[in-house]
Amino acid sequence: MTIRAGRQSGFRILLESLAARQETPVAAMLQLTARCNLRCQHCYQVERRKRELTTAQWFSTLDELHDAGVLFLTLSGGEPLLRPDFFDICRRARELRFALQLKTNALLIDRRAADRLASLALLDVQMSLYSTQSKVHDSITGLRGSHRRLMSAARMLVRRNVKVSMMTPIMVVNVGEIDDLVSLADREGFDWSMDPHLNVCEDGGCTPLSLRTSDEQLEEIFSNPKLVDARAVRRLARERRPADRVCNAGRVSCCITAEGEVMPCPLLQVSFGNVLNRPFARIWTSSRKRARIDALTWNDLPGCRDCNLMPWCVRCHGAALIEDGDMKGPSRIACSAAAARRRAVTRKRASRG
Amino acid sequence: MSRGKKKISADSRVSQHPDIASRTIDDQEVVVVPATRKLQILNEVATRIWELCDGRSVGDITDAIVEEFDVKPSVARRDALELVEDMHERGMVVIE
Repeated sequence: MTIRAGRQSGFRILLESLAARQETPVAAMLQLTARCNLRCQHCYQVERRKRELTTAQWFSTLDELHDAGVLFLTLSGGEPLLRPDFFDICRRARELRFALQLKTNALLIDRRAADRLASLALLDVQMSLYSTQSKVHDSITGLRGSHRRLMSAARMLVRRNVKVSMMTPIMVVNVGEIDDLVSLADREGFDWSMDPHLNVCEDGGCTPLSLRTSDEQLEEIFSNPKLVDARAVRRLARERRPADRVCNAGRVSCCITAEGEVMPCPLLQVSFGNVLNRPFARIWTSSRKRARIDALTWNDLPGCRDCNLMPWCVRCHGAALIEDGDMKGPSRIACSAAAARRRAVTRKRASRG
Repeated sequence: MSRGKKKISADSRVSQHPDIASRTIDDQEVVVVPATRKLQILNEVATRIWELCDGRSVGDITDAIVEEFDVKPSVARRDALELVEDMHERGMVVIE
C-alpha cells in the first residue's frame, strides 16, 4: 500500500519538466458529466443541467488533446459512469494511448463493469472513502448502502489487478478514524491518500464548511508521521522562493468541463475557451487568461508574498476565488492549514530538542 | 514489475505492449507502463528503436539503426538487443 499525503514533489517535478518541453499541458481532467447519483454533503461541485459534449465531440476533443501532447487523462464527473458512452470514450482514449485514471463513486461498478475496467489498463481507479463505518460514510453520501457498494466494487477491481486509490477528505466526522482508514486500506490492498482541505461549493455555497476540521485537528493531522513527512515539508519550506510559481494548473494540467470549457483545474472557475468553438491547442496557446494564471508567482499575490506563512502554504487560486472572492488574495483555508503545518513541524522540533 | 529475463535473439519479433501509454514530447518518446505505473523517457536512439518495435525482428531493427545512425553493426546489434531486453523487463514490449 502507498500512503500519500502532504506535498508530493517527485512526480510533479517530472510532469513539470515534460510540460516545459511543449507549449501544452501533459495532464488533463475530463469532467465527462456534471451529473451525479450521490449528494455528498461536502462536495464542492454543483450539478448543472447544461448540454454535455456528445460522444463525437469528446472523441474529437481526445484527438486534439492527443495531438497537443497530453499524456495523462483523468476521467471524472459528476459520476462519469452515468454516461452510456463511458466505455466508448475510454476505449477511444486507450486507442490514442493516453495513460488513464478514473474518478468514480463506484455505484455503477458491477462485475461486468469491473471486467471492462480491468481491460482498459488504467493507472488506477480513484474513489472516495469517508469512513471505515458504513453509517458514517453513508451519512456523508446521503445514500444508504453506498459504503457497502463502494467496498464491493473496490474489492472486485483489486481481484482483477486494477489499482484502487482511496482518497479520504478529512472532516470532523472522520478525523478520529485516520489510523483505522490506513489499516483498512492496508488490509484491502488499496492505496490511500487524504485531503485535509474541504472547499466551499463552486457556486460559493457554504455547506461543506460545517464539516471542516478545526485548526487544532489540522495540526494533529500534520503532526502524524504516517501522513506527513516533516523533514520533506521543512525542506520544501526552506526551498520556497517568492519568485516560484504557485500552482501547476494552467501550465502542466488542465480541466475540460462536461460542456467543453477549458479551465486550469476543476476548482478555478476561469474559462480559457470552449472546445466546441476552437481547437484545444489554439485555446491553450492564445488565451491571455491562461498566460496570466500560468505566470502567477508568490510575488504576484499581494497578501501572500510578504506573509511569514508563505513557505508553509499550499495555496489554491480556485479556493481563494470561491471562498474569499479574490484569486490573488489570501485564502483562509490555506492560511489555516499553513499555520497548522508550521506549528506541527515546530512542535516536532521542540519535542525532539 | 519485472518480466524476468527472456532469451531474445536476432530472430525474435518485438511489438510495443498493447497496454502501454505513450506520447512523443519534444522528439522523445515518453512511455508509461500502467501495470507498474512507471514512466520512461527514451533518448533519440531508444525512441527510434521503440518506433521500430512493430512486429519486426531484432535483426531488422538493428539493420535500420545501422542505416540511420553512424554506428558499427556489431555495436548496434549489442545495444539493440540490450535495449529490447530492458524494455521487455520493464513491460514495454512483447516478444514473439
